[in-house]
Amino acid sequence: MYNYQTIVEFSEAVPMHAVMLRCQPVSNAGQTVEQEHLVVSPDYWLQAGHDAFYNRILFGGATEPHKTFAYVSTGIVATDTYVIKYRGENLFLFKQPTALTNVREAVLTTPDNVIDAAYAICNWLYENIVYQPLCTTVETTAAEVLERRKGVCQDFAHLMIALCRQRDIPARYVNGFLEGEGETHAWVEIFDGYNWLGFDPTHNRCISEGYVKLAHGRDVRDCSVSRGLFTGQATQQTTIHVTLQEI
Amino acid sequence: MNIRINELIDSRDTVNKWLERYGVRFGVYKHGVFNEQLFPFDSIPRIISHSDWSYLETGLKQRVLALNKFLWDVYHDKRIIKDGIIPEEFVYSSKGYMPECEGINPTGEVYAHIAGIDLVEGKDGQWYVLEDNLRIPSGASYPMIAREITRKVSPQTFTQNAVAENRNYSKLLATMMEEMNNGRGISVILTPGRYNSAYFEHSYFAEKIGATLAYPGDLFVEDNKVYYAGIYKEKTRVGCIYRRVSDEYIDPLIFEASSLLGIPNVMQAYKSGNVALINAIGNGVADDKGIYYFVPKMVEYYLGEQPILQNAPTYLPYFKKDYDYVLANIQRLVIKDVSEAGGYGVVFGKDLSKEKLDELKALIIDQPRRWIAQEVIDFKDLEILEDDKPVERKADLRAFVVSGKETRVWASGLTRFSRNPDSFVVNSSQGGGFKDTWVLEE
Repeated sequence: MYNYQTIVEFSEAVPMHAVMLRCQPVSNAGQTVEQEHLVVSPDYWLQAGHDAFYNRILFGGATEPHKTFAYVSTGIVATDTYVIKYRGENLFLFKQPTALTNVREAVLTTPDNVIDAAYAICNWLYENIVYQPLCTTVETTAAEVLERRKGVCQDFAHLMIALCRQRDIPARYVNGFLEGEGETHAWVEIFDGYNWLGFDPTHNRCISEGYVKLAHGRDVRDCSVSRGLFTGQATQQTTIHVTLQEI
Repeated sequence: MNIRINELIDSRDTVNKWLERYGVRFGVYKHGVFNEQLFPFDSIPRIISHSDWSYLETGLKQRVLALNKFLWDVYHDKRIIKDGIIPEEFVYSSKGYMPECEGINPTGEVYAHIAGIDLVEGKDGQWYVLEDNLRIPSGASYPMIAREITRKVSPQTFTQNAVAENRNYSKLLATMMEEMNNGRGISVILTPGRYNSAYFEHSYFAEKIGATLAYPGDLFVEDNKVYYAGIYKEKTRVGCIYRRVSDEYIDPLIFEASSLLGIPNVMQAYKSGNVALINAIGNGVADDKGIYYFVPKMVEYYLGEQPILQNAPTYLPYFKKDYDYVLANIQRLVIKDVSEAGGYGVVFGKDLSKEKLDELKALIIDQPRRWIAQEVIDFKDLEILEDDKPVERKADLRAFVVSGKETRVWASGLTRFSRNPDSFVVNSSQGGGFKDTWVLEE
């Protein structure tokens, strides 16, 4: 059972606020959404759609002056073995480095087998990069992480993706929930020639079960849970609360 | 044919003065500084014979038709890639390729509603296409207003010569926008504002075609439909946006998040078929300098016809044969960086020192896909007036092709010339001037 809550408070009334959300899990071979509920501030219009990578999105906004925006996305997901079928995605896009996943220097040598290589990269990251909260930003690149040798789950994922793409292994960024409370988690899916397999470089493991996926993309920019834009001079304060509990 | 050349020459200063008073300017950002410069008008027109024009018109229609089919294909079935005509990296690593446009069906399946095709005429009389501009090509307003003023200064010129009418460009635009709008609401021109290089053009067209000139913040999306917010906060439904804001700034929730020029959620409304965007989003993949090489192949592939218009002879270092040729002949080729636009990133091998040539070679060896090389075309010079004396300068022609339900070519165009006698670069952003383009009637 997952619960994702966000409250955005503006310091003064804003005349217009537009949002795009990726806060609802998808059903795929590894997870089935059995129930879901969405509660949104009543003055917002919201519609469902898909983005460029077929992630579920909600988009909308409010066009009358208001001071808060809040939503709760909650539901129940049954998880199964984390193996996601290839559905004709454009692999080229997941092999091509992006600004956030571009590392040109050789960091380690890996076996030829894709899965063995992914394990080796995961392991190298675990041994060489220190998990340290708040030392990086959403804009930190894989090259910077490699240089500073520390970061959070997003940075581990970006660096793993960069190292996979160096080897021509299609790799994508994944955003979702991990059991516990706090924030969303980031991990990686690599393509082994048949399926997408999950790797969590922050915890140095191949994902078997218990991860709930929200969205995937070339890097974090394609996966943000929430994007918004408002007019006016206000400042905003955002409070997010996430839980995932086994039931 | 009775060109009153002296009268036209005499009219030059008067016409330029009026252009200045009308605010015909070109804004240029360089090194973070905004400068407005006049766009100098040369009063001797470029004259294109009726038979040359018929050839160009047929060729331009064919080319733009194929480019539109290519864009549909890239964002849908990708047949041309699957059939091995274009290698996938040229499509997907192009900065203009937008995965966000996959599967979107623009109204009428048109992508390049307004295409600006840059051509040059060789000394042998053969025309060559140098570049296709399919994103938001500008420039048609300049010959329009220059002709409008010249007509007032020297009316006999146009009564005594059978020059094809050019005032119908507004009609071409208005008809196309009406067809794409499909009765959903009003049509607007979205301008980034007066600091945009082509702001004059935006306001001029809005007036000519009777569209509302919208500024950032005037348009918003509600219930997945686009509205124009009037000064009394009334809402007016918008059905068609001729947007003069580039792809990466059009929707801050999808593309560049810091953009204040765009319309949040407009991509969703567009995807749902609730608004037409002129030109479509994602067109950059077809006017990429690397894709240019493949345009004649698109004509054969999609239309089953022989291409009427020729490309300048082009080499792609990506292909081994061309790679060897380019490295061996670099000193006499033009080298273009595919990621740059507007005459930037274009170098002539003959102008470079031995060291610079070696540096360039190293760049090509490092990233072959990033470069194209072309033979230098010895293009026909046109006469321009320099201190009241005629001198010869390099010039090109931007032809405008408008596609709505049908594809139509405007019987005129923007002739740009280089004021520097040694330069082949005619871009307005590099200080060139312009002429009117006369297409002769039979």
